[in-house]
Amino acid sequence: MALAALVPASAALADTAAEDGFLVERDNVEISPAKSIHIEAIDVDNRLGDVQIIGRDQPGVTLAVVKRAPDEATLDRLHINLPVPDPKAGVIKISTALLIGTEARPIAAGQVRIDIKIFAPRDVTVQARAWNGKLGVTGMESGATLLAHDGDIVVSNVKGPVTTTSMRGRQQLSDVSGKVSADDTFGDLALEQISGEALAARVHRGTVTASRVRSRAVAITTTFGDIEFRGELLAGGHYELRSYHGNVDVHGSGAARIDAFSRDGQIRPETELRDVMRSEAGRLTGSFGVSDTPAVLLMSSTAGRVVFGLTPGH
Amino acid sequence: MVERHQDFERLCDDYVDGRLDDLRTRAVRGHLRSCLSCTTRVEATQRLVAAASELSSIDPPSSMWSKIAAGLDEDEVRLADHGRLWWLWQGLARRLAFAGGALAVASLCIWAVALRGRTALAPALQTVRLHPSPESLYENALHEVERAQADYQAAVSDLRTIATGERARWQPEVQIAFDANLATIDAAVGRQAELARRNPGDVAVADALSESYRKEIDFLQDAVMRGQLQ
Repeated sequence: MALAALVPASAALADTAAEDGFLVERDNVEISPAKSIHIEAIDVDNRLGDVQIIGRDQPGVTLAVVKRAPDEATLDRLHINLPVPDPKAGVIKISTALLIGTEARPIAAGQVRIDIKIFAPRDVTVQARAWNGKLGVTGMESGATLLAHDGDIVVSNVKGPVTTTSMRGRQQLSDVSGKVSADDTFGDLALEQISGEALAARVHRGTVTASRVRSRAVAITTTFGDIEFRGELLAGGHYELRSYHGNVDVHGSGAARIDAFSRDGQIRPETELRDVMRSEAGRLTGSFGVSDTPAVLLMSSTAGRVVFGLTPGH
Repeated sequence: MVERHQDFERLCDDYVDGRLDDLRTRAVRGHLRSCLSCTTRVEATQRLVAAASELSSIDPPSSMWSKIAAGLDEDEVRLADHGRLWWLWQGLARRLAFAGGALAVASLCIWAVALRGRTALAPALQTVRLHPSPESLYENALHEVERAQADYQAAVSDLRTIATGERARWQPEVQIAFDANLATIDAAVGRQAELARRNPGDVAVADALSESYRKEIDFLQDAVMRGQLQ
């Protein structure tokens, strides 16, 4: 039977010990699919702690789970749900919950923890959700969709589309090759070495720092935080960096048509432009470099400062 | 005399249980010296308590107490002769003393907490291990979700304030479209918030509400940037 074949060898090892006044239980679970079944995706919902997903060149999925609670009764109430996956969908769903009475609640709790480390084949698509725990993905090649509340999100060495959302956590995305969409309400966002067709980032009250970006379509928006962009302006690319209260600082290379706007602040070009025009107060347009298909660079801040400096591209 | 005996009789059980203050204990002991009825009752109660208890009692050596007891006997006989008002006063004074003591302790605690508040309290609290009940963990989790919604509302409020200031710069048709879209989003968020209020602990509903807030934030953020477009 296919269902049974998907998890023919699921071995669990458990170990309980006391650490720093807390009881700690460690479990290792191996999920070895039958050869005929391909794991397409992993879907993790752990609001009780960290989630770390690490890509590897092996079939099968390994879970290293660490539970922490102040006493044994509470430890017993921490549940990990690992239902038998649907072999057609090829999705492994993992969720955690705290048992309240007879009901399992997938809640965020501060005094108990479940941290999950998952080793999975690189080609598996990742979907993960946490609350105040850290979300980390590394070494995966089919993208990731990550959602956290207070917890930080760290993505490194990932290929494929990456979507991250956090309310208060900081985000750090590095070495991502694929379409990136990052959204944060009150956290800072650091983007480094992002390449792929598009990069979209939104932050309400936090800064965005983007360096070594090689995406062709970039849109970064903040309400209050500063934007700092360092990267190459690719031919035919579109770069839109907007803030309401924050400063916008761009230093890059490549030919571009430039539109800079600052209503209450100031525009400070550090590069000499061609065809300079000031069509209205607070707006500066011009061109830099020579190219048949120059990039379009839009920079604006209503109440902040716009600073930019460009060098010729390679 | 019968009235006095009844007063003492009511205190016998408290005497055996050791719930009387020192003065009344000594007075009862003085009464027992002359009242066979109360002595019989007290001894019977004491035997019952002793039988019920598996713990062995530790008696002081008789040599230690013989001299002290002789001196106290006279005093106890004197105490037993007090009038009824004295008995009432002893009971009342004890309660007043207890209440006064409790107030003093409470104010001391408040003072201590206030002082601790000025210094770093967190390290001290870290040493306290409270074992939470599942219900309290659940309550905490619900509060976390409520705080998250409050955070989203704060962001929405920020942007609404900015939008109100920017609105005057927009074309009339843009203002109308903004108002209409925002009303639709507000209605959707309101429905979702009501659903979340009626289903506390339902994570799917809470997630949907958070998603609604994020969409509202995106919409408002786009709106306030509108004035930057040429």
